[in-house]
Amino acid sequence: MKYDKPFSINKLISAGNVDSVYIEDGERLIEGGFATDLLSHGIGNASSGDAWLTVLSNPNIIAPASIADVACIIVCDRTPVTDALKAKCEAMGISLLSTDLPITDMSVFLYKIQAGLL
Amino acid sequence: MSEILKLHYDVDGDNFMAAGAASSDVKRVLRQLGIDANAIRKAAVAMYEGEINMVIHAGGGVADITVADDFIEIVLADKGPGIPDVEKAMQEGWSTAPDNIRALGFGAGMGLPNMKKYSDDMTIDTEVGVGTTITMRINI
Repeated sequence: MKYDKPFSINKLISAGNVDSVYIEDGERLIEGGFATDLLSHGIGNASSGDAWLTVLSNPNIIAPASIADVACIIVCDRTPVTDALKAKCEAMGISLLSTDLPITDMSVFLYKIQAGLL
Repeated sequence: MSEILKLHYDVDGDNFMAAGAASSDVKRVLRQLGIDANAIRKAAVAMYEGEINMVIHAGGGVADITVADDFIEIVLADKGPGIPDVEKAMQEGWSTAPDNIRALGFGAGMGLPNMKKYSDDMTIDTEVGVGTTITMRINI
């Protein structure tokens, strides 16, 4: 979904619940969210400016994330972030965050930020 | 309808870590050319899916891209096993990718449907045991 009030990656970081793994542009706006672990589903349906929520932690997510022009990837549910994923994010300029929250809880958290509830 | 640019990529069938690199580069070049953003997204998504299919199913192949004033043409050619049942392969959710590939996030059975969805015209020329050539055109 597209948010009524987009907010920056920096605002998400300051709201808590996420760890910054690599930030390309902290002022980039998160304009919506999309959750999937299927790369074709993500590249075909995520919108530019979305936060891509996933439990995937292999570097193959970076090419579709880049092509879809998402604002960032959020690796959810305590999924360990690999060094290979971090390195590819840096190489391709994709912001990467991680969270202990499950995908559904992270989705609600993002919604609360855009709704001004946090 | 003058031709602006031609691009050629060899897609490595053994390197999953590099899968998608050619599509990402095409997107970068199209942006440099100032092509319409929607056309860039359509071309990059369609090519990404074809590139991944060549890596997963065909042991790699070649990609040739032509950029003209009013269209982008993507030709993906491989010498893989071919597609025995194109109609079935076009069904969303149908996939022959093995489990180890699915664990990486591939094999959703959305590759060919996405290629058709994001291109304005697509033709599939395939022969079992010989290979597959897919031609996609995106209008600008």
